[in-house]
Amino acid sequence: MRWLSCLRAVASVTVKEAARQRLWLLFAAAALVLMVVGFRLGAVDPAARLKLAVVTITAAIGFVVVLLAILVGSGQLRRDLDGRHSFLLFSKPLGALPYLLGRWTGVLAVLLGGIVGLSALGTALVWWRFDQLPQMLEVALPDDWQEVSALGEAVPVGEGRKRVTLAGAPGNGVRWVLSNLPADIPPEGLEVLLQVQVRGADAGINLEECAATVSAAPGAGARMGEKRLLPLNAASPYGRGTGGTAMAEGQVMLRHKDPGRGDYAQDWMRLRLGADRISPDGTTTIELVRLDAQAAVVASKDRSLRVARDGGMLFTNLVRGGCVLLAIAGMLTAFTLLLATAAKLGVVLLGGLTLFFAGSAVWTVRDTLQYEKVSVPVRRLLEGAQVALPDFDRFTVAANLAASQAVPWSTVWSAWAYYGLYTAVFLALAWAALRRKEL
Amino acid sequence: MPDPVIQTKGLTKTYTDFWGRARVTALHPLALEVQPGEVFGLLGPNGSGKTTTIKLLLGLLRPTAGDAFVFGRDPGDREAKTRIGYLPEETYLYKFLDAEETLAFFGRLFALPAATIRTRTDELIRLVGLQHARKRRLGEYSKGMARRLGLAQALINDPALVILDEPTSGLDPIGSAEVKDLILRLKRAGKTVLLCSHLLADVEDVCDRIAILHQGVLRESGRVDDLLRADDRVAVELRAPDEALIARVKEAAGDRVLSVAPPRERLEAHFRRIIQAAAAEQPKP
Repeated sequence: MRWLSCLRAVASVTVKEAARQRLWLLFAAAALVLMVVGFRLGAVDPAARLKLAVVTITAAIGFVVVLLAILVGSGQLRRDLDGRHSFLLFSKPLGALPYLLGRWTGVLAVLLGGIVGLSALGTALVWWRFDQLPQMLEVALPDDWQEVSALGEAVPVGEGRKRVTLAGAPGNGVRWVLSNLPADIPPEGLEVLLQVQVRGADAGINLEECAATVSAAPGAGARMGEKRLLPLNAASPYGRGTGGTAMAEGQVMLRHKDPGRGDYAQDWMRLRLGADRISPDGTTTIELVRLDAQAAVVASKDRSLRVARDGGMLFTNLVRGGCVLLAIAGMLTAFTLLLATAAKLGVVLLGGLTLFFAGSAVWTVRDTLQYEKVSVPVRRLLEGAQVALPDFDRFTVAANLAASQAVPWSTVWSAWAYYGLYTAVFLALAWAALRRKEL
Repeated sequence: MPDPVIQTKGLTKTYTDFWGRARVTALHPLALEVQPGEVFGLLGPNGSGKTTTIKLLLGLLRPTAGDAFVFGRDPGDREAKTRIGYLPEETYLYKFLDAEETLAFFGRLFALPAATIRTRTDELIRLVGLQHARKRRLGEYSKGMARRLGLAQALINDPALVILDEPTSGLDPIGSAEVKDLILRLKRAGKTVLLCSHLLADVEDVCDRIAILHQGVLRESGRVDDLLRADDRVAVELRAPDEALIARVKEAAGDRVLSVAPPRERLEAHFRRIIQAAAAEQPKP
C-alpha cells in the first residue's frame, strides 16, 4: 500500500513538474506545425492531401513523444541526484523501485495527455480542411488459398508459391479462406477488399482490366455453403467499367494495381460481404473468377485480399497509434532513466537519441545482411545488433494510418509486449543501479 | 533503561574513488547512543563528519565498517524511516510546488490518509507561520520561508525521531528562536531530536547531551550541564548593588574575585524583545 502511495506521489509530482515547467509548449509547437501544414496542403489531389495530413499528424505526435520521453524522466532524475533532492526523498520510506516507476509512469501520463490532445487537434484539422474524416478499416488476412480450374475444381496452392497467375481459358480463379473472423458482425456486414495485377494474356495484348465475379460462401472446404456473388460497395473506387459504366449483373471490373500501393481508400476494390456469408465459427471462402480470356490476372495470398470492418474514428485510431508510440516512448524513458542513474544529463540525452536512431535503422541492418559479400565479423556484429536492438519500424503505425488502416488494440498490446520487455529490463537495471548508489 | 533510539558501534565511513581505492575517511569508528525523549546535539566544524553520520543513520550511505541502528533496525529499513523526520542542511524542496502540495507530497510518501495529510498540513503551516504563503510556489519563497517549510515537512509524519541538520540556517533571529522553541516542544512531547549544528548557542539552549566531532573523530560527549559546569568558579548576582556593597564583597573574597560587572542580557533575548514590542505597536490591519 505504501509502495503504491509512493509511486503515485512521484508520478503526480512528475506530471505537475512537466506541466508547470511549460513542457506543454513543445506540444503547442507541434500543434502549430500541424496547423501550418494543414493550411498549406493545397497543391496535390485531395486523397494525397488527406494522406499527407494524417502522416503529418502522426509525425508530429511521434516527434514530440520521442523527444519528451528522452528528456523528461531522465532530466528529473538527474536533477534529483545533482540537486540533492534525493537526500530528502530517500530519507523517507521511498524505495528506488517506486521512485523509478513513479517517474516512468508520470512521464507516460504526460505523453498520453499530449497524444490525446494532438490526436483531437489533428482530427479537427482534417475535418476542417477536408469536410470529412477518412474511413478507417480493420482488416483480416486469408489463412489459406486454393487455385480453381475453369471446371470449378479447387487445388491447393503449393507451399512456396506466393503468387498465382490466372490465364488461359476463362472461368478459372482463386479461393481465399479466412477463419476467425469476428463474431460480432454488424448488420451491414463486412467488406472484401481486392487488389490484383492485370495484364494482357499475351505479350502483344495491352490490357489493364479484366471482368470477373467475386462470390463468397460461409465455411470452407467440405463444409463450404452456397456461394453468392458479392455486390460492389458504393464507396469502391474501382469495380465498374471504363468511365464508370455499369457492368453486367454480378460482374466487376478488375483493374491493374501495383502491389506497392496499399491505400484502402483509393487502391482497393471494395465489395460487401453479408453476415450470412460467414459461418457461425467465423469462416468464409471468397472466390474470384476471371471472365476475360484476353487478360491474365496475378493474385497472391497475402497481398490481394482482405476482409475489412469499420475500424472506428480517425481520432480513436490516432490515439491507439499513439499508444503504440507510447510503448516506444516507455522504453526510451526507461533507458534514459537507467543512464541517468550513472551519467550526466548530456550523456543521457546522447544515449537516448543513439538508441532511438539505432532502433530506427534496424531495417538497414536487415537489408545489409541480405548481401552475401558481408564479411563474417561484420555479419556477426550485425546479427547481434539485429537481435539486441529494438526495432522501431516493427509496427508501421504512421503508414498504416495514412493508408486508412485502423490500429487495432491487438497491435497496441503486441507493441507493448515487444517494447515492454526492453522496458522491464532497463527499469530493472536502473533499479539495481539506484539501489547501489550512495547519495 | 529503554532501548536507545539511535545506536552506533564502530561506525566508520571511508569514501572511495571509482576504482574502490580509499580517498578520505570521513568518519572514524563512532560509538553513540541517543535515548528516547532526548535532544542530542552533534557538534563540529565543517567537514567534521556530522552530515556523514546523519546520512549513515538514514541509510543514504553504506558504512565501511561498524553498525548503526535506528529504533533497533538497520538504517535503510523502511519501517524505521516511517518514524523519522529529517531536515537536511539545505532545503531540497521542489520549487514548482506550493506549500500545501509539498506537504501533501511528503505525506503521501508516508502513505498517510488524505484526511490526515490535510489536517497535518493545516497544523504545520500554522506552526511554521506560512499561512500567508501556503498557495505560493516555493520558487518565490525566501530562504527563511523555505527553511520553515522544510521543517514542516520533517514533521508531516509526526515522527518519533527528528533529525535536524542546521535547522536555523537561513533564519532570522526570531525564526531561530522559534525553531529552538519548537525543539523544546518536541522534547516535551516525548520526541527524540538529533540536532546537528555549528551554532553553539543554539545547541547549548536546547540540548540535553552533545557529542563533538572533529575530522571524523569523536572528541567528547556527555551532558551539556556536566560538560560546561565550571566547578572552580561561582557567580553571585546582587540586586541594586551600590559601590559600598561591591567593595565589601571584593574585600571578603580577596584575590579570588575574577570579575565584577553587571550581568548582560543575551543579544537574542534583547533582539526578540525589541521586535516583539515593535510588532505590538503597529496597528492591526
